[in-house]
Amino acid sequence: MSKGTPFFLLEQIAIDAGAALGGAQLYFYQTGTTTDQDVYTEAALSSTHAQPVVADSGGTFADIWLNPDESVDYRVRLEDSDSNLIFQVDNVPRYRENFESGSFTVTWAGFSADPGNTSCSWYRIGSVISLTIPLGTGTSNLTTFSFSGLPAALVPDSAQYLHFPYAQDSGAHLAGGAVGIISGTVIKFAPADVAYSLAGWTASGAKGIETIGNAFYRLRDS
Amino acid sequence: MADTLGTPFFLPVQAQLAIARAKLYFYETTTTTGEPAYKDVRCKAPHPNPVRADIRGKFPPIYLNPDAEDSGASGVPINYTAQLDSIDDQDEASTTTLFDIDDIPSQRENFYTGAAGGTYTGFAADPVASGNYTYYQYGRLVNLILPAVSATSDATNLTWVTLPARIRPAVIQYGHIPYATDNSAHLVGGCTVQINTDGQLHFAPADAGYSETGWTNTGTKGIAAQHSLWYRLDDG
Repeated sequence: MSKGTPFFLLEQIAIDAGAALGGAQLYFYQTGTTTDQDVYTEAALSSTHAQPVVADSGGTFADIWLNPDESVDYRVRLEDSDSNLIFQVDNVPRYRENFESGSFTVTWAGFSADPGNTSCSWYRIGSVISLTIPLGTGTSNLTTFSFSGLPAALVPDSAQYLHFPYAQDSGAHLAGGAVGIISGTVIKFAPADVAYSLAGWTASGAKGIETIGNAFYRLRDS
Repeated sequence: MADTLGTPFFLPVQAQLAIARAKLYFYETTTTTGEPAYKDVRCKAPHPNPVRADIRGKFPPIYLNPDAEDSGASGVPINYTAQLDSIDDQDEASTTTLFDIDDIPSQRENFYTGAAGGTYTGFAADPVASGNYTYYQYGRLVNLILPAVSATSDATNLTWVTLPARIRPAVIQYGHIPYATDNSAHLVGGCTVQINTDGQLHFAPADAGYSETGWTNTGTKGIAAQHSLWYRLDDG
């Protein structure tokens, strides 16, 4: 069983309001719905709270732990003892780590006819990035192969190295695939069928990434 | 510990607690062995233990150390126990314990580890003894350890079933294993792994263009050396 995620009230309630919150009720739902989602009395997640969780006469709630193994995040709704709404918030994360995602448009270099796909997806999990680069081959212009457009928020502290197993050079499958090196907002590629060299990939014909590739890298060194 | 970032500590009880000069003790979880909490996010400056509230009951910022280790077993990470005591105004001795809570996480992310027993297809005789995978789950990230496994091919595609439900991805994920064997020879480019949402793993040789239905030669095939791969569990 997972260890739970500690739950904290999302809005700071004045200490003086403590008495007014006596018997207040906290409801936990699947985010965006009114479907109950369990919360727990301890980190080991072996004992569930009743729904709603009710504050004592002084407005104090028992400790509450969220379950990261649920399939969706939480909606949290706080009502006073007379069921008047105090706040309701969706997307309360069930995981402890930060998460966000997005996409950006890449600009290819090294082609006389660019690969058709330009959308690159990213997922930031804490300080780890999962980058899903677009597949696509184009026609080589005999220069090395790169793409630019990595958003500043995804630029790592130091050069990071990625590997994509399916690549193409000179119109043929490139055994060993390709390595991508992140340098600033640019990812430079090197063919992995021979010893490492960023000066490679200058043949004519079709080249590029054959199938969608996913790679992880760290954002920070400290 | 120079690069460690501490985990912010919040009072786990949602209390309107404002107790002048209260004492907040930190221990190795489930013990009474003191474990320092820190004044700064880089865990350079420890608080005294207990940490004291000011006369209005307010505590300073507190960070927990994700590198905290079991005092009896070097290298074993621990969580914290937090205990809050009110005090006697006259002699400042503890009077009442307002809470005493174990398993306050020292890490920011959720962590879980386990083993996944599975079965291969694609072999004339399944190498069952090598079918156990180990996994480490860090929040939404899974680190899957695939053992080396080689056996005689039955000339059908290579798969493995199945991952536990808790580490099945919401959308198909892909990984790469650099050392593989096909037709009894090293497979230049290794093989890829497609991790399906139903927990099935489909392997494909990477010496040629991608094909999920590949790897149907005869002879010995498989993963030539243990390897580790990462994938994300969900996209939202």
